[in-house]
Amino acid sequence: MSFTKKVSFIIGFFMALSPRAQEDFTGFWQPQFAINYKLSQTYAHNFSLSYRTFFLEEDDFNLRSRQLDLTHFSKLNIKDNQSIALGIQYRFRDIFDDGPNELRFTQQYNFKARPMTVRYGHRLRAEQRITRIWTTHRFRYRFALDFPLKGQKLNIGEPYFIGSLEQLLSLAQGSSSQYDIRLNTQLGWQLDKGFKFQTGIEYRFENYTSDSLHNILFLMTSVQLSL
Amino acid sequence: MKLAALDILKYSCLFLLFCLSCYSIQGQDKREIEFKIRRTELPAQAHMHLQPYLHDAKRLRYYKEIDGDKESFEVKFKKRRLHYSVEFDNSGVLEDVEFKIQSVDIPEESWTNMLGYFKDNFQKYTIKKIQQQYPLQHGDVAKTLEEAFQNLILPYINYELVFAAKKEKGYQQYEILFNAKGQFLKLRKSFVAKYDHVLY
Repeated sequence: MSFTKKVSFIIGFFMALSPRAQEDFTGFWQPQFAINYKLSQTYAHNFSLSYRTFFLEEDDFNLRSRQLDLTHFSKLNIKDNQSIALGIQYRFRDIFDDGPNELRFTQQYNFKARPMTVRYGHRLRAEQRITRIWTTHRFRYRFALDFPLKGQKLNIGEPYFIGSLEQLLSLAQGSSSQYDIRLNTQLGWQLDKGFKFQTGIEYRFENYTSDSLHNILFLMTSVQLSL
Repeated sequence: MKLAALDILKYSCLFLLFCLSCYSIQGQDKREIEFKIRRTELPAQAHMHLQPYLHDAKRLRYYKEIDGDKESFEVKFKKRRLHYSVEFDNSGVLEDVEFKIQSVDIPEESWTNMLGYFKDNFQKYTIKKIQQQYPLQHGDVAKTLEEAFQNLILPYINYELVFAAKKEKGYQQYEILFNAKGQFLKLRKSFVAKYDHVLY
C-alpha cells in the first residue's frame, strides 16, 4: 500500500467515526510560542506559552478565551536517538471561566529513527493532572513522522510536514477510564536557522469508547525558536 | 477577571516580541543547501552517461547541492533493491557512485579494520548507514559507472559510514571514509535536523 493510500485510509477511518456525535462538536484555535535551548550536549530546556480560544462552541462561531498554558520541559538525551524528559505545566483557566486551574507533571520517553528521508518518532508520556477537584493520571503513546517537502534536507526557507497519531488513556478515582485519539497534521517552514513557523489542524476524538463521544477540531499555530 | 486575562495576553505578546528581537541579533552560520531539481536542469553530459543505467530505476530524484562555493548535482534512485546515489560536479563530470550496503557485504578483513578504528577512537558508537563508494577512476566515466553498477569489490573503492558516537559528553553524528582495506581516510561532523518542533 502506498504512503498516500495509507494516509487516506487513516483519515477515512476517523471520518467514519465522527458522524456518531456531530452535534457535540467544538472548535479551538491554539497559538503557541516555544523556546528551546541546550545547556550541554545532552541536556536541553523547552519553555512554551500557549493560549486556547473557542472559535466554534455549540454550533456557534464565537471567540471566547478558554485557557493559558505555561510549560517547561527538561530533556536528557540518553542515546543519539533516544531521550527522556520531565515536564511541568500550569494551566490558567479560572481567569477566563469557571474551570479549575491545573498543575501537570509529565514524564516522557522518546525514540526516533530516520532510515531515509522520513523521520519516525515514538513518544510515551505519563501525566499527573492535578486540580482542586480531582487528580487524573493520563498515559499517552504518540507515533509521529516528519519530512522536508523540498529535497531530502530541510534548508532555510523550505517547508516541512509533520503528521502524528496519538492514543490517550485517562484514569481518575470515581470515574470510568477515558480513551482519546488525536490525529494531527501540520505544515512548517524553517524561516531562519533555529526559527520555525508551524500551522495545521488536530482532530480529537475524546472518550470514543463511550456514548458521549466528543469531537474537537484544533487550529494550531506555533512559532519555535531554538537558541 | 476578563481584564486580568487581557493583561496576560498583552504581556505574552510583549514577551514574544522581546524573544524575537533577541533572536534577530544572533549571527548566521554558513550552511550546505540541497534542493530538488528537474531532470532538464541536470547537465546534459551527466544525463548522457547515466541514461543507460536508469531504464529499471525506481524513485528517481535529481538534486542540486551548494556547499559554500562548490556546486554539485546528485541523482538518487532505487535499482535492483539497492539505493544508489550518483554525484556529478557543476559541469556534469562524474565524482562518485554510492549505494547502500550492510556490514556483511564488506570483506571480513576490511570490516575488522574499521571496527578497530571505532574501538580506538570512540567510547560508544552506533552505525546508521554504510555506503560502498566508487570514486571516478583516471577520468574514465564509462568504466567507473560500469564497475559500480556491477557492484564489483575492487581495490579503489571506499566505504562511507554515517555513525553517531558519544564524545566530549555529548552525542554527535559523523561521516567517515575508509578505503577498500578498511583503513581510515577522512572524518567529518554531520549535522542532523532538530527534533524539538515535533517532540513538544
